[in-house]
Amino acid sequence: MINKINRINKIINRDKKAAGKKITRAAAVFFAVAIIAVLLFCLVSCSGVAFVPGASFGYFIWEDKDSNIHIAWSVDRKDTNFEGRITTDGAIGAYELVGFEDSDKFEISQAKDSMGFDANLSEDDFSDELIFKAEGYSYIEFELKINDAYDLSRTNLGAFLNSPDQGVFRIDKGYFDKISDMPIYTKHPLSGFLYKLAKDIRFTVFYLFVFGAIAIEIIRITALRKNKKYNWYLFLCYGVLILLIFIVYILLKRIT
Amino acid sequence: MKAKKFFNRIGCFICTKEIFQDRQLSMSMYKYFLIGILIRMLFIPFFFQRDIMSTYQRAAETVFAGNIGADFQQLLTHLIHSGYLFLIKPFLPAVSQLSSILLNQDTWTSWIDFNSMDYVYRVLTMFKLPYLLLDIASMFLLIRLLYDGEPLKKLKVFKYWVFNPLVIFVLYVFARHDIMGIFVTLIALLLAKNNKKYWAIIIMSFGIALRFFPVMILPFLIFYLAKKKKDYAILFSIGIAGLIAVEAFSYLYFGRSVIFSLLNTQHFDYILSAKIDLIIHDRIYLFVVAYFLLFFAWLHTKQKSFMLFLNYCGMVYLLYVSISYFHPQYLLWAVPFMVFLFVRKDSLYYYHWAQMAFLMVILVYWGDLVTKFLIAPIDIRTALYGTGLIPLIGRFYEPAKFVNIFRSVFTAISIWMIYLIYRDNRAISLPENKAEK
Repeated sequence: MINKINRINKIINRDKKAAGKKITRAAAVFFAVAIIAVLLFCLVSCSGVAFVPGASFGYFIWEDKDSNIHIAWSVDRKDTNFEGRITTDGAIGAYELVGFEDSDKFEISQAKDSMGFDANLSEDDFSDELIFKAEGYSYIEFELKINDAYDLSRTNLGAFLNSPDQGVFRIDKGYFDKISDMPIYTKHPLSGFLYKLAKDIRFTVFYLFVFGAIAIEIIRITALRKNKKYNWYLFLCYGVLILLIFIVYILLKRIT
Repeated sequence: MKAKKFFNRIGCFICTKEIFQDRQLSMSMYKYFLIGILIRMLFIPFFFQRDIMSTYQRAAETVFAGNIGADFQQLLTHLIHSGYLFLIKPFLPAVSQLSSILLNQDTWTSWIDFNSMDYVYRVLTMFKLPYLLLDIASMFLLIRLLYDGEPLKKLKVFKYWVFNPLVIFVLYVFARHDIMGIFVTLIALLLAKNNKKYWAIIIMSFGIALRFFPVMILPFLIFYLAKKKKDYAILFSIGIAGLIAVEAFSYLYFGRSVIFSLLNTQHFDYILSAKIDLIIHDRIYLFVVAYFLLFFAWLHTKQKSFMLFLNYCGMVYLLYVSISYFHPQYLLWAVPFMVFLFVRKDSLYYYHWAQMAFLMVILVYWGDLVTKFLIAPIDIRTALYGTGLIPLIGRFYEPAKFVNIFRSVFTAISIWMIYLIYRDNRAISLPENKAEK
């Protein structure tokens, strides 16, 4: 009787352990999927420019769905001066200043076709923002400075690191729509990554082949080993790998 | 038939006879190995920390500019990297561009140029290849160190190393060369296990000259190997011979002392970083105290088994990261000893994962260089202009305090692990003592 009870207890304990392991694995998979989902969401969903006031450094310019243009600037809690001028061939309609202090300056021309700001950020002043609506315009011209100098790489136009080529730059009407319609692989960081893969295509193809061959070997010794159509599936796996590499090759060539 | 015998021998040589002859175990080992390599391959071409570039910059000074003493403090490591760079030189893409980048004395410009290179992925893969080979060799050395006659446990040891997050991070994301020293240390340990005491200590001496970390376990090894009184003097002399040889070479060739140079670097101060100030000049260094307590405990252990010796080595390295300032790669030195313990104690394995998780936060200590700059080969502009972790934390809370809270928990975990190992020591010792009685 005691033996029977012991045996049942053992079986229960074994089942508990197995269930525990399954739960741990499921939790690990869940967290991995959640992290990947969050990362993908952040990468794909940034149609505006995501930044953290008081942590990110630079100008962030985007257009919201009501066609208001936002120019925000932020610094990682250091004393920094932001100065700029915005000019248009149309008119500046309603505008709003967010986070401006008394010491920060703002002016708008009488013709309402130009406006300027001169604002300081500090350890406790994380960010300022200028929101305005431009009407009847074909272009808007920006001249944005940080500490009295152009810092083009810190000017993000509609997307992270989509920076202008020169200190005084213009954007056309519909510019932000064009930027948000741009495929994800043309934006940072993917653009830089794919560019290098394409530039050293021989290495990329070799790397993908080795990577794929190892993956197929894992499939072979786990899923295929006892399969009746072993040779056929193996042949199929390598066929798929070569096809995938060929597709990647064509895509990378087209991207660059 | 001969071919079959030949391949059987190779199989036994690589993964031990016990595992190779058990089809299920050998297949599992092969599977773990392949998955491990696949995971490593994900990181090899795309990530690195500035140190590997500095290592190869010094090697480039030797290979391209003929300056042999570019790194006299780690002369052997430097010579190995120089030799390897010389060998792969014909296979490197855009070698003239690469050499000018590596020889550029301006560290910031050279780093940017290196990351902007079209062939950075290929170059990084070639740079890290020796680490991968030594990592693979270490996998198969580890399974020989313990659990003879217990192939399942050997397989677990293999699995714990292959999938160890710290090994993967330090060698392939951080790209540090510590595996060279670890590999040599493992050879020395294997020789020690097989009672080849002089060879063990000679190899260990080479390991110390290669990277100074094994010196911490040298006294433990000497007391494990010594059987007679004269052995202590002989083994100690051989043990420090490597260091003396490097010192002598450095003195003769470069005209300066490598040992005193190292003692005066901030790296040695790391060991002395935890201290209690008493009065006037009186001060107690906590690591030194704790290290010698461990050493005395080892000294007074009656049955100095190899398993117990490995436990003490693990405790020493855990102690170092617990109470001293350290760089992330220093924790790697504890891993070869802990993988054996993970097999016996599941809880230690979970604590090791916790260590790893907390280490990722502690990384913030070292700023952009070891956080967002790790992804610089993927996209240099994102690495340069993306928001860093320190400003991000600083936005909400003081970064130093934030990190130090995690650092403190890391220390607690590591000390608790030492305690768990100490308990394991007692569990190992008790049956042996009983058997002796």
